[in-house]
Amino acid sequence: MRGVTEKIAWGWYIVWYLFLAGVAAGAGAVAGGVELFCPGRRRLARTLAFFIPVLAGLAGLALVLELGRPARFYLALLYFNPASLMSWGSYLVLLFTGAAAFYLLVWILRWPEAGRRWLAGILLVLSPALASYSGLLFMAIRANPFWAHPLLPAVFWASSLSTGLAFSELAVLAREVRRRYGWSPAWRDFDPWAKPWSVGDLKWLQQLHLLALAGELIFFLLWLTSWLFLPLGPAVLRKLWETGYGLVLGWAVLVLGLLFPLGLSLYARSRTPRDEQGILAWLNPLLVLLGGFMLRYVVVFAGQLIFSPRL
Amino acid sequence: MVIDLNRCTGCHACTVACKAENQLPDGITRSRVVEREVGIYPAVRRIFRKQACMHCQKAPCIEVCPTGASRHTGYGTVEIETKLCIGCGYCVQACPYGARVLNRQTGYPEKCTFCLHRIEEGLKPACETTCIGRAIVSGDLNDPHSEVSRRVAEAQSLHPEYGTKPSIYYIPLRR
Repeated sequence: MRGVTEKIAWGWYIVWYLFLAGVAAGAGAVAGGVELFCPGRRRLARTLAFFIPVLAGLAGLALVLELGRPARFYLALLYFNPASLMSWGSYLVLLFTGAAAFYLLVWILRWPEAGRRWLAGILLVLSPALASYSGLLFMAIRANPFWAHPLLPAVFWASSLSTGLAFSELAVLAREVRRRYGWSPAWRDFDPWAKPWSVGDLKWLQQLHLLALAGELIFFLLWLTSWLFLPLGPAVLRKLWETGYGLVLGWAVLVLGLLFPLGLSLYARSRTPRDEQGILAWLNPLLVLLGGFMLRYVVVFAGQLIFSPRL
Repeated sequence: MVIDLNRCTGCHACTVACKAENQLPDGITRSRVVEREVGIYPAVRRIFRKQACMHCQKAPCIEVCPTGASRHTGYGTVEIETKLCIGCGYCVQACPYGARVLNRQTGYPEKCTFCLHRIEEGLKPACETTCIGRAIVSGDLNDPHSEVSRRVAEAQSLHPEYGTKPSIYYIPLRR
């Protein structure tokens, strides 16, 4: 409950911004990594190149729409306050979106590979910064015991990587949908799936995702259990439980978004013959994306609800 | 500013005066009176404390503002330069005293301005002039002969552990 009124200052647009920027950052890391280190799978990077600028652009749009004075968003870029993480973040979102847009342009216009590799390197460097910066932004609010947690940036980064990989799997699988409905762009250079992927590519992504999910689970559990050892931790956990956000965190994020996909992945791997494109291949990333979204939802809303200035 | 908690009657006149002076919309206040019960039955009592922007010398809202719209004035108070404010709400989240709220009508955060428009005309803040218990005293802390300087000697800042160096002081309750 706020001091002056009970209104929540950051709403749904911020949740969408955090989610979309996280997915964009994760997908950017995948595309950058593939471009630089897996030359045999560059068709995946090409497919993702079509989606990353859209995701990052939508994230930026959500951020602008949340502003009290959206038409003045450019002031955040004109007046730079080095002490404000939001100032750094504004540039980060702009740089990442610009790099992603150029990366796509280089693919479409078939410019020299060296330029593409440079841009992929920039995406790879900016991705963890974009994914974890919002965690830092929350962490810097020392007055809020729920947000001021040193592991929050790591949790955001792990979730971004996981949701980015989930999105990558869906982006790859979407080619089958397009094939089924017979849609094809008039100009081949604008076709995200012009270079067809192989089952091996999808399998590789799914294996990578399994590792990312395990990593995210570790960070998530560390984050949750560490509350027990922080001075205000038990009070925060109690408040989470009382307000129902604890249930959302437990069921939607931990069970549906992490444990269930992990179990499904392991189950799918144990099946013979494996069905990389079956219903599980769709369900798994969708659940991970849902979990990632709900994590942001809880962080934004529970953070503001739990925040109670000691009046 | 020094607020004597022993003199505060919890009448909320300061809250109303602030709303009227600054023509604030429904649901938004810049100043409020926090009420709390202390003690163990039967020795219980109700205490009141006027609270608004603390005009911190090391203000978190100024630190986090991406455009520099939140800044110190020449009087040492904290103000919002609305021409620079984008309404991002980061200052609202960063204030440990919960002294700011985003006004959805204007898109700017609302906070106590210390009635600078009145100070510049040689007047006292609206909350101070309306306080029936004379619990609120403002003035120049750099002037050792001012009433506020004399009273600040027995006052404390609220939550000094935040490290924000507030410019509003409270004279604690005497038993």
